[in-house]
Amino acid sequence: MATILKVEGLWKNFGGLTAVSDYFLELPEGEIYGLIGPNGAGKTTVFNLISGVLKPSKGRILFQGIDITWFRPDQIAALGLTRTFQNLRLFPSLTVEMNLRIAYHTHARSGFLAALLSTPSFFREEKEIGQKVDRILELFEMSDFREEIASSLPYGWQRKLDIARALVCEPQVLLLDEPSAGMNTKEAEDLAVLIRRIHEEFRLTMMVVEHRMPFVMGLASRIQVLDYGSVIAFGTPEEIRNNQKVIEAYLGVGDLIA
Amino acid sequence: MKQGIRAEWYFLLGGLLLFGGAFLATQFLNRYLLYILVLMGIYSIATVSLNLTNGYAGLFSLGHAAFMAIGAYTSTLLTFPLALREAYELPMLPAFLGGPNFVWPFFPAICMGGVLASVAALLIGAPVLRLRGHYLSVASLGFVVIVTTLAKTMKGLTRGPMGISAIPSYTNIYWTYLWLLITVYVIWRIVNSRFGRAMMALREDETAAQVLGVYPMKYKLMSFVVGAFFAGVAGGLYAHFTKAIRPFEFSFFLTFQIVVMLILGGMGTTAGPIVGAVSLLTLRYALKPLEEHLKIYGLIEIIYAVLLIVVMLFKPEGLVGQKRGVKKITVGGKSSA
Repeated sequence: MATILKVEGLWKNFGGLTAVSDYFLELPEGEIYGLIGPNGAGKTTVFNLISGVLKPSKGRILFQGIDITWFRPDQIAALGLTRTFQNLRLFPSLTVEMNLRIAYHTHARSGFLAALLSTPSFFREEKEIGQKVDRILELFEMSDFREEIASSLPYGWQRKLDIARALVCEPQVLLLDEPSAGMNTKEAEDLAVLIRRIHEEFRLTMMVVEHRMPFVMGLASRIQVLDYGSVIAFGTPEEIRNNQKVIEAYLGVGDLIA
Repeated sequence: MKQGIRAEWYFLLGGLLLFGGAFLATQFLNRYLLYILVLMGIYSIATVSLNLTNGYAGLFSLGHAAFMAIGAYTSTLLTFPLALREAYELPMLPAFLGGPNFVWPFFPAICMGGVLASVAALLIGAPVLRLRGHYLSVASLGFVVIVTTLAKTMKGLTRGPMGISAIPSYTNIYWTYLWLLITVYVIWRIVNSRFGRAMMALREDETAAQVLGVYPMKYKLMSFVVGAFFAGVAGGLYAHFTKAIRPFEFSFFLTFQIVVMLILGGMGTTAGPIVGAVSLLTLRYALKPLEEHLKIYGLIEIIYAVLLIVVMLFKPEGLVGQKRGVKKITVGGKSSA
């Protein structure tokens, strides 16, 4: 399968601290990859670099063959790569519907004058956005929350809204940064089912940062393990589970364990 | 606007009612009350336009008075009567603006004032809008100082601190309310389109907006430029209403009044800015006799300020704003794991 996202020799230094060193990735189209690692391993930094929120110190990021290393996040989104955030970044004081409508931005075409004069083409597009939002709300079983203010939703629903919003953006590649953070086990299981479903329905390529091992093991076809900013292991969930280096990274070196 | 076209008809109906009301006002009200009504219209235009930048786009600009000054001086210079230009030591128009024997009609002159204010917004917006929060407010305040200082010193154009008087008195209740309608309409359309949504997204969370494809600078500039246009219009209307303008009228104090009106009415709401402008002006003219009777000048300003504090304490979303972001269920929040 064709590689849709390719990262070569990616480095990021914050002053003297090296957050990411020589990170690489070849993400095939249609796959779900997992990215795991202990706290502070640089997982979120990798996402920030790929999505353009941070600029790398060195390295190259290719998306569909285009070098996006120095693109702005909005340009990267327009090409079809978007993400969610570990520490939820909804539009808190807007309604659920508005949160989703905004996300259609890269596909909305109507011009300034069309909006001013409320031309038929403007209304067609607004209606189209409305239908798109309806579909996503239904898929996420959130239709009842349509008019609710985003920040008033229960936490688990806020996390789902974040993913729903990214889907309205119609990306080809979606980066999920700890989608199940703060959820209980039941909620996380439901979320995994939902993610698998949208993966199939939208033919999405995904990359998931996770802490919950069963969650990511059940979801991803391949897993990368990051420690101190570099990839220490890469393989199928089975291989990762039995990898000595990974066990050490998580639990410490053998003889130190009491 | 889910009901689509229909909302436009309501708007048109509201406009007709407004003009009917304006006509009745000219028939039955005395000049003093008419004066207040026009002033309410002008301040409403300024407040509604400020709402786009400060309310919807979340850029707390304090530069509105500067844009009003640019609009006021522009339309004054374009329309100033030929016969008086020499006596007032004001220049004739250069060839590209119509030549020395040309005087602009009212409507295009007002538009030009708006356009120049927009151009100024574009020029200062590019550097200033990179700043966030308080830094942006302070920088935009600096812009007010620059413009008023220029107005004081460029004597060949503005006659300096003594200002320009004998400005043709074109502004009446119809012009004012026509422009108010245009302002409200344009801003309402922007807010209900992808442009307004992008602005609100930036206000709510810039990073999230950006990864969803919103280019911050573009939409910040757009809100700033459109807001400045109507501020320029309000300034022009003001000049042709009071018939005399001086640089100090466009100082921080003017910005302060408009900002108070906006906050009091409710930022980021459709009706809020108008409610704020009308209620504060009503208060001002209702209290004026008291101020004069007690001989405590500045009493109204003190009341404005106290009112602002009270509103901030008890109804921070403004008179017509709805309480937002009330958490029904709070779960630990961010996971630290």
